[in-house]
Order: sequence, then structure tokens, then C-alpha cells
Amino acid sequence: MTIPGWWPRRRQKAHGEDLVRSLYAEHGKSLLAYATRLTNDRAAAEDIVQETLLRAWKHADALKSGQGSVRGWLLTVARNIVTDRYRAKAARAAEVGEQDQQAPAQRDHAEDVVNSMVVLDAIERLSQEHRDVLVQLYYRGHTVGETAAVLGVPPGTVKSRSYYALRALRADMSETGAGVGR
Amino acid sequence: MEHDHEALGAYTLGALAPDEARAVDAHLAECADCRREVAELTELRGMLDSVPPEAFLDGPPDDGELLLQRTLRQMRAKQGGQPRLARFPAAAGVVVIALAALGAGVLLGRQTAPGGEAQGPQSSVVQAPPGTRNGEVTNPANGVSMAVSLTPATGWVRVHAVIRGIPAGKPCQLLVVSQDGNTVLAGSWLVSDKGARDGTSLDGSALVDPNKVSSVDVVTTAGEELVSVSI
Repeated sequence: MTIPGWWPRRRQKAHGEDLVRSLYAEHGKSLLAYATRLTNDRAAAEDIVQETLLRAWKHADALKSGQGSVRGWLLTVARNIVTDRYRAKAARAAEVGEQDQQAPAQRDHAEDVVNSMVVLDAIERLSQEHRDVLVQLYYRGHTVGETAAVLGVPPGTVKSRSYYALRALRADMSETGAGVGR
Repeated sequence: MEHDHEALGAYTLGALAPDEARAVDAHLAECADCRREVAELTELRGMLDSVPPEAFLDGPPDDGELLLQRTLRQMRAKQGGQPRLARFPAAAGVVVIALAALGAGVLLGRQTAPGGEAQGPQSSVVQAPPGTRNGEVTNPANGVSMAVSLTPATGWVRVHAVIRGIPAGKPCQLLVVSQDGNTVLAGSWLVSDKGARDGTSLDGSALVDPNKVSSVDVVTTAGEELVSVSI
């Protein structure tokens, strides 16, 4: 029984620990997979994820403001850290005249950071049905037939949903001025 | 073929079966409306490409417990200012005895290092030292799991382990087993209520040649093996 006004003395949690735990539980796999592809090095990727989460913790207010995609923010921060480190490493190597500087194993194709966040944001605003079809068809590279099997809907439905998903995306991004449409 | 606008989405995304795609191609050759529509949708592909495919993976990483614990430790270290001696044992949810206390001492030293909040973000990451080996196992028989990270020192090893699924009140030992069958105690503890609920995080060390470690085991003081991670 708990006596009102009395609370057992507990460890004081680091402020924001719950935030980091929940970010990790929701986005950890995505972040680590992305960082692993960019660095081609699991240990380096783990450091990137750790640093990204620490930055999220420091900028919790910005993150909680509810503007834009949290995942887009995290992935962008992760990529910036990879880029910064590569630059720092290249600069150090130039000083000591090292050769053989390697670029990160796979350069990300996204050059426009803001753009990728805007797009991810718009994808997250799609209905679940539209988003599922788009992710399966495009990001997983599945055919209409495979997607139909994965989602348990007829192929015709996959086709129509993909069409309306793209239209919705286009309309959304025209509104937000992302450079598509008139 | 008629104006099947709905097929144009999958067509644009390159997801139609070859014969269907050919049918759309044939239609496009003679339909300006549909060509315009495809051109519009194709603009979107460039934008879709700016989002990495990993953006659509959900959940925590597989085998990711150690990384989370490392991150949380780093957070606590950066928070600074709190009396650590009182906090650490409770934070780890363990009664730290003997050699495990040594591990805690090492951690405390790192946490109270100068810098704190003032540290630049670049310098704050705890790098996994070279040669660190990780393993994670859940014993299907009793549900006890351990994620362990083994860092070689000169002639001995540091052990960091996160152990879950042991009922409160069990007296446990963390053992490092060498290839020749010797076992060395790396720490011991009594599982607390919190440890039973959230898991127990331990730092220890053992005088075992890093190249000759065979496994890290959790065994009760009565000799019951709870979980074993092969290294």
C-alpha cells in the first residue's frame, strides 16, 4: 500500500531517458541499417546511431514540436554525422599526407537533405493503405503480384492504390511547395 | 487498350509484369493524355529516390540491447552533477561485489571526466574499442537472455553484460570460461525486483587470455547454469 504523499526513493532517471528508449524502439532498426549502409562498418554505424540519439536527446524540444517526420530528422542527422566524420578524416589525412582515403562505402544518393525530409514527411501523411503499397512497390522493389500477396489484396487493388498514392503525394507536395507540379 | 489510368502508377514505379508494361507502352504511343500523366508521375520518382529504403524499417535493431545500454550510459554521463556513487549501483540494478566493483569504478571514472555538457558532440561518442566481441543469446529453456560485450585488455578481458529474465532473489555469478575449461569469476549479484523486471547491467573483468575465451556464462551460486554466450 502506498501512503499518500510518500513515494519510494528511486533512481533518478537521466532526463529524457524514456525519449531515447522510445526513439530506439521505434527507429533503431531503420537508423542502424541506414548508417551501416553509409559506413559499411557495423561498429562505426553503432557509433553513428549513438551520436544521433544523443543529439535527439539534446534537441528534444525541436523533436517534440510535432513538425515534420521524426524519422526523417533522425536519418538526416545520422547522414550528416557520417558526412562530417568523413570530411574530418579526409582533412586529417591531408595534413599528414596519408594516401588511400576512402570515401564511405556507398555514397547516399540523396543530396538534398531538406528534400528527403519533406518527401518522407509527405509519405507519412499518406493513408496507411497508400503508404503500404508505395513502400512495397518502390522501396522494397516488389512487383504488383508480390505486393498483392504480401498485403493480401487483389492485384487490381494494388494498381489502383499505387496510382492514387502517387496522385495524393503529388498533390501534397505541390501544396507544400516541394517543387513538384505547378 | 483503353485509358487505364490506374495502371499508370505501377507502370511509373516499374512494378508491372512485362506483358502488362508492354501493353501500357503500346497505349502510350498513341495517347497524349496518358503520356502527360506518366510524365507527371515520373517527376515524383526523383523525389521518392531522395528517401533511403531503410526509412521504412520499423522497430529496434536485432541484437541491439548493448547499443541502447551504451547510449543510455553516455546520456547519464553527460548529464553530470549528480552524486554518482549513490546512483550507479542502483542504476545498474545490481549489488556490486568484488570484481564487479572494479568495473563500476572504471565506469565512474569515465563518467566524471571533465567536459560534461560542455563537450562537443563529436568527442562524446564512446567508441567500441578495437577487438570488442559481442554476443547475444536467449536460453529457450528458461527465457533468460544475455547480451555480452567482451573487450580485450593485455592478458585479461573486460566484460559488459545485460542479463534479463532471471527471477528476483536469485544469487548469480558471471563467469568467463576459457577454452581449457577454466572458469573465472567476473562478478556476482543478487537479482533485484528491478533487475527481474528490466534486466541487470553488469561490468566486470576476468583474468583470461582474450584469445582463449570460450564463453561467458551466468550460473547461480548453487551451480545452475542460466545462460551461456559463446564467444
